[in-house]
Amino acid sequence: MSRTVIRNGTIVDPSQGLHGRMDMALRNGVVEDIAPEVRPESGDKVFDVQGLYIAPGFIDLHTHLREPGGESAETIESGCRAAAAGGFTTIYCMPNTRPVCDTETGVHYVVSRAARAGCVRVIPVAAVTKGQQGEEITNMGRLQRAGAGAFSDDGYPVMNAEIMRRALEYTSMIGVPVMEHCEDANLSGSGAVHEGAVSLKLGLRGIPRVSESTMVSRNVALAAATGGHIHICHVSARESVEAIREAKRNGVHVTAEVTPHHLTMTDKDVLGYNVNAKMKPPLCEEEDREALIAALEDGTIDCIATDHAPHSANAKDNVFDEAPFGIIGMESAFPLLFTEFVLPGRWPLEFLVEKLTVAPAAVVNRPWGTLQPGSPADMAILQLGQPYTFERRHLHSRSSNCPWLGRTMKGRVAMTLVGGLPVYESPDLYGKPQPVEKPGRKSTSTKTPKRKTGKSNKATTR
Amino acid sequence: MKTVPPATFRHRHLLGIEGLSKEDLLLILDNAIGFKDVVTRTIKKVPTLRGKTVVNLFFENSTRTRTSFELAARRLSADVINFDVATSSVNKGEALLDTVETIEALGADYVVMRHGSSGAPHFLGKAVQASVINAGDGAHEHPTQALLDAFTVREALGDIAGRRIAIVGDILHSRVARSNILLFRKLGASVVLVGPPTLVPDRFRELDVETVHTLREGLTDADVIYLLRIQLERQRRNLFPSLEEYRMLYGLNARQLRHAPDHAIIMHPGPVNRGVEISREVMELPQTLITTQVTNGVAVRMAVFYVLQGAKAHEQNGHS
Repeated sequence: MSRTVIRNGTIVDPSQGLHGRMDMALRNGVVEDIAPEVRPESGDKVFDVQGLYIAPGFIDLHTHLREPGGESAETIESGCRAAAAGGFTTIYCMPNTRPVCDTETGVHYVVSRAARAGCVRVIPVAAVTKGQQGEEITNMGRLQRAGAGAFSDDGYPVMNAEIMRRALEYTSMIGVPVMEHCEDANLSGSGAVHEGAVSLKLGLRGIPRVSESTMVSRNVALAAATGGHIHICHVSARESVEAIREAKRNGVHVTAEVTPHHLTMTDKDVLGYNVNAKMKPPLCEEEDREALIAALEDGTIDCIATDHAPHSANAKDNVFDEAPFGIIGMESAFPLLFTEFVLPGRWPLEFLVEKLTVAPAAVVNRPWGTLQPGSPADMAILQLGQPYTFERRHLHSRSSNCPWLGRTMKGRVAMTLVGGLPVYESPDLYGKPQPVEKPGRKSTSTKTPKRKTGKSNKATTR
Repeated sequence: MKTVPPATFRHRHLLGIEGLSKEDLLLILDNAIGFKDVVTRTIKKVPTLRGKTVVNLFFENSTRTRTSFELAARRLSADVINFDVATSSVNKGEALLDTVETIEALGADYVVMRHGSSGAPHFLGKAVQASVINAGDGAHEHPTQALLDAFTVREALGDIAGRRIAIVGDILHSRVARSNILLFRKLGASVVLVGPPTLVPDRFRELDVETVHTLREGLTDADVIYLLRIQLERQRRNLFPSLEEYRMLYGLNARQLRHAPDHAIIMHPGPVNRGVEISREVMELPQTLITTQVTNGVAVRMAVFYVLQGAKAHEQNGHS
């Protein structure tokens, strides 16, 4: 089997503490070697990616692919393409489809559809309770053997504490997390946005912070009592952060994720009845946003997950009360967070990459998110610094419920590889990776037409 | 009575008090004075909207507000259509757009809309050519009610600046309260909200108003006592325990009224729960202006059509 050599990239792999210009050799879909110089041999395919960055493929623990039952919004295939366009090579998909993914057949369906899409790796999350009804736990052992990577009733909270207790107790034997959407359905009621000055002003029904934080507190207490692993989905409120911090201090097996939108937006984004700022949990206030950023930085929150939630324009383009909750996020996650946090200097690039790679892998206790020799050659090749307008054409989802369309982004995914094979290539890449005809020859990428015409060439990046 | 509308109003729609300047508000209120003369004389009609079509699109029932708009439009010589709305569609936004496309195809110039969802007129306003007048959206705004209330206060007390307005009741769910808070603050009055914390959360202070939880505190120094209708539905959601307790704590009777200054006027947007928000005996007092508010409603809504027509004429002349 032939070897592929990727030369002159800047490899950013927090799992090995790498950040520097290196060459990489791939064989049989696996990373064979990373070294300051890998000499191409006859028969090698050689790519020169000078000026580009290489990170392990991103891992998203929280997506909704809508299939089966919601194909007008997304399919497993379109969701996979959206993931690839965002640099994600492994995604977990939530079970709130129609029917709910609560049987081995349902798990097999997702796995086989994803295999047919032949794009990124898809790990189904199966339901905690049958039909997500919150009454009877699913056949968790069998579901895990069928391929389920976690359990969640996402979209609905498990309101009955006894059921959650049993689910955590039972899964402690299997060693996979229960991923919980923490929301007290009674406290949320028919609320549409965070309860605060904005909800008062707009006359929208509010969801109080305690709707999330009381359930976080309950769930970490149950995890402490059972020894189960609770993963808190999409943390939004500062009180929830405190509850997680306290539980971690006490040695509870709790992990948590935060979404790009909760890191970058607040309830003020709802003003004007912006339906693309309507999601659950709702966007809270600036203090909450700052608490979430600090929690990600100090490790209280483990990783970033998008909660990619496609809704067709027919459903989402609606009066605010009627519009469904949720926005898509896989294509925009890296460009947005790079632009908002790395460029201004708040985070080193390694930090962002870590929270998208080894950190989520650690949550599910898998040896992923790394380019160590022997690992699958799953990677995101990134172009940093060139400004461009994020538009509908950058979305590969069937839906476009994205609040960042029209935003200037300064980082993009140039190419995504899964098992050494390209699954995404940016169509308007400036300085795209060029195959080199003869081994050892210097890159000719400066002569490509794209470079000549790229007006971004002259643009300043900061 | 002048019939050429002023060109100083620059808004195509009247979606809320928010977004209007003090000058915009005063323009409507000043014009309403003239229209009050029109509606109180023998021939109550002017030709301002002759040949124009006004559609009343009410997704929630409100005979009072709809009738007031209808009368205002007719007295400006407009053709008025009351459109019945079916709300059984799977997507209410789409149903709304479909309905309005139909209405536009029929040539409507004004759509007066009431809808149960906050922001619905804003959603509509982005999609249509006609001018949208918000006749109440969810718990958000009811701008013409606030305008007629301000008109009534001006008539009774003169200048609004420096006055103190006490609004009593279910502020949390009230579009009337929101519009009134915005309007009275813009015109320089101070506003105090009165009610239990479940209906008057202290977060309202972020809107630059005071909040108090006893009626007596609210009445002290109030120039205007504005009572809101209390709805039984809120009791079912445990926002207050019973109408009886509400009446005891926040109902305005002659004894409570003694805590207010003598010149204070009493208002209510209607319909009144007699004997709950307000006692029968206070209803009968001369300073209780509830029926005056209804009369003024027509004049103020005429003024709203009038200034919007002015803005349209301005736009058509290519000035914008």
